[in-house]
Amino acid sequence: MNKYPSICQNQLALMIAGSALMFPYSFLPVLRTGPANQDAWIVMLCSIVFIIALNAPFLILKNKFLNFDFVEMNEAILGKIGGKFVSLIYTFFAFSCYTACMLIATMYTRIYLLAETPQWIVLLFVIIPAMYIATSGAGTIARLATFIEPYILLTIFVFCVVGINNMELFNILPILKDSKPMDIVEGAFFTAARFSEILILVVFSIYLRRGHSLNKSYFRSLAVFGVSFFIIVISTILLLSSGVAKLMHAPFYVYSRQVGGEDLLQRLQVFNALAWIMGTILKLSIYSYMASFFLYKVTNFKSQKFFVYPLSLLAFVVNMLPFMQRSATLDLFKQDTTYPLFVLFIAFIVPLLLLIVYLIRQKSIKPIIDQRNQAVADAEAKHDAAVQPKPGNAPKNSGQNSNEANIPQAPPPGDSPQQA
Amino acid sequence: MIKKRLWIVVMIIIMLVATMSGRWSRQEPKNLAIGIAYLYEKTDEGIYSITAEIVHLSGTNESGAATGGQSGSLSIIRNFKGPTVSETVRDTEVKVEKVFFGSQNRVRFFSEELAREDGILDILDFFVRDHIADERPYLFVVKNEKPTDIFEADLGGSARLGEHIHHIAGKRQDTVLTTTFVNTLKFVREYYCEGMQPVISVVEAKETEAAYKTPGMEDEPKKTELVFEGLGVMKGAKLVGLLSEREAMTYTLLREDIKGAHTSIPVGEKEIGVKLSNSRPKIKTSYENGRVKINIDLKLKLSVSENETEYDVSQYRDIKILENIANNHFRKEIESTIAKIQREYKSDIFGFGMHFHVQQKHDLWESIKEEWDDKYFAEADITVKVDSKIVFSGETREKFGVNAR
Repeated sequence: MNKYPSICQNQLALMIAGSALMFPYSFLPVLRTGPANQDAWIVMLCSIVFIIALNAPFLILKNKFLNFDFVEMNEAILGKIGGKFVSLIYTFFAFSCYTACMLIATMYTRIYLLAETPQWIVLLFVIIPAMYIATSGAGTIARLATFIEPYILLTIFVFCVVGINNMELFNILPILKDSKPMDIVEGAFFTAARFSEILILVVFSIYLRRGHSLNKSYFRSLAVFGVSFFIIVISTILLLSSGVAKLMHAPFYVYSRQVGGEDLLQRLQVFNALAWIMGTILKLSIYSYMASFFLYKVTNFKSQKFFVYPLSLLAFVVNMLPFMQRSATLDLFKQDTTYPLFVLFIAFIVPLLLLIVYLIRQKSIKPIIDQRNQAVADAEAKHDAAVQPKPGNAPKNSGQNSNEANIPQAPPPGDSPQQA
Repeated sequence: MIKKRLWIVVMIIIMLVATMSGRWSRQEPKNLAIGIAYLYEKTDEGIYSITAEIVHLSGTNESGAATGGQSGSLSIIRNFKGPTVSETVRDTEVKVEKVFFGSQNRVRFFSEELAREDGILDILDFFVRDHIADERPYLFVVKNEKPTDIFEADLGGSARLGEHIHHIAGKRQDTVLTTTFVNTLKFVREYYCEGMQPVISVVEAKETEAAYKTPGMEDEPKKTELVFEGLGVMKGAKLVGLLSEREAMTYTLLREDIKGAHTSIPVGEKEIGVKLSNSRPKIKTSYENGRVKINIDLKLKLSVSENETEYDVSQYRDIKILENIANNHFRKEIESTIAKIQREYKSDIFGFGMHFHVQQKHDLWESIKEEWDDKYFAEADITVKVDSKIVFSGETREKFGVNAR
């Protein structure tokens, strides 16, 4: 009983949307890409189409390998060695994101919030909770997302409404006059290329409850992300103007600094800062979990938890390097020439190659998938029979409301048994 | 499970407490020099001279005299000098035994000389870059020959200059026609806007008559009070001219949302007092034979608050006459002010260029935008149409006293 975490489609959607929103919430790179002008909100809207296109290979693959975890899927397609090699690339990617997010978190904290606080204290402030959450498992992360993410969405919505009086319509004018179509397309592409959260779907969807849809999770997350992203971009441009907003390291934080009452309610940006810190910790815990999960599966070690600590320590050390403590390093992540291309390789190129290999080797892979699907179906049937209520003796808890699944998926994917 | 949840709750509480405290740094409030008004000048040697109004917190561990203030006063005025703004505001001469805190800053003054000769571009960079500064304080050019006079002005019921101006600007923004209060964000935003030049608020400490005089003190030195009249016309980050209060009215009518400003309209030798509100004017631009044409269509709503004239503001016939008089009055004011700015300052503070940018073809704007202020705006044919409507006559009908005796 209760051996493996189980998450519902809405939790997964909130995890993905929450993690993806941290980029616009932090430095709103869409303002500096493509035409880099008042049409940034149009660039943002177009980027959703690109996100769907770029995520398509992973989404198709995951739909084929519903009962496989990420490493198993790679091994099924490429064989043991090839699968492990690709998984190691993703380990590096997840660790890089973990480190980069940590850098962003500490930089913004030091630039905007705690200018005099040493870097190592800020790092510990985000690493310790992220480590704790990552070791608690996928279920904890998902449950945490269900109350962190609504708060983040609430701040976005409330700050937008409170700031309406200060917005100027002329800040988005003229519409589409100063931008060339190719600039819009380029901007949309690079904005979409920063969206690496499809990996979260691929990794965590193995824990989806029975009957919960992977595709629904994905499109719901995209809807939440798209609407929130749009509100952030349009509010920021309308209040700050694109010229001023792109000058700032954290335009939405600067936006939140402008709104609110004069006397009774001051410094409302604290709510924005709080949402940002919680969202960042959630994102860190997700990437920490993914990196450690990949390592655990590649090495067949006894516990995923074990890898969280050394990876966090390594991320801490990397962030303490003098090079990483310069704000110019942060600017590297904002540029279209570095980070989006890395994400593009990971979230589009590699999955596309995997998909091609899968299509080529479809005949030999299909029996493996069928075998796994059958095993899972058998396990479910066995479980259903076991929990069938005897007449006049219905169980108090049928398991439907529990956050932890009663059925161990076969063979056990994901979290280690210690997470029971 | 309960233990885990407890841990999460504890962690969230720690995060809330850490981030929602009044101060986000390790400095105790008593150790802070909370600056609420700063005056920026440049000396003859070319270095910055910054005069700061610092909140004097009672109960601190040193006396007011120790920090240069007077015992019992609510603020301390200190002057600092340095080669850059960031150094100067942080008191690198070490005159104050506290750490400077800028998040409560309410107002930034510039001497007219600094704004005209050097401009404020470098200082603006400091405002948007340094974490000690932010975008909320209001910006003013000080007209006084000796700008520090503003710190001597009588503030009536207010205790501190920075808060006095902050409250005036916050509460009177949409009810005055003779000036507008420009905060740093608005200035920076207009600075970055294509086809528009920023304006800056103007303040002057003027000698006043008996308004605040103490009874029985015949030889009391003359007091000064702050006067907010007119506007500073900027071109980029440099001040190029000052508008009088009447001229500033044109700017506020065309650029601001006025929700009830009181003004008077001359009717023969008498005046009629009105409460005015506007809606943003419709501005249409065109380009013919190398010249820009701009049509301004302004609609005003008037409520009569005082009637010195013989017109009966409850009769449509008289209302129509008064509306025509009002239309002519505002049209002439607007036309003459715009003509002056075109002729003397060549700076498009009304944002006509922005409308041109929006309404005309992108290539046309791109080809003329560099010369917009000096040539196309300065030589533009501008026509103004004002449509005033007297919507309320107040609480009475005909003029008070008519048919009384």
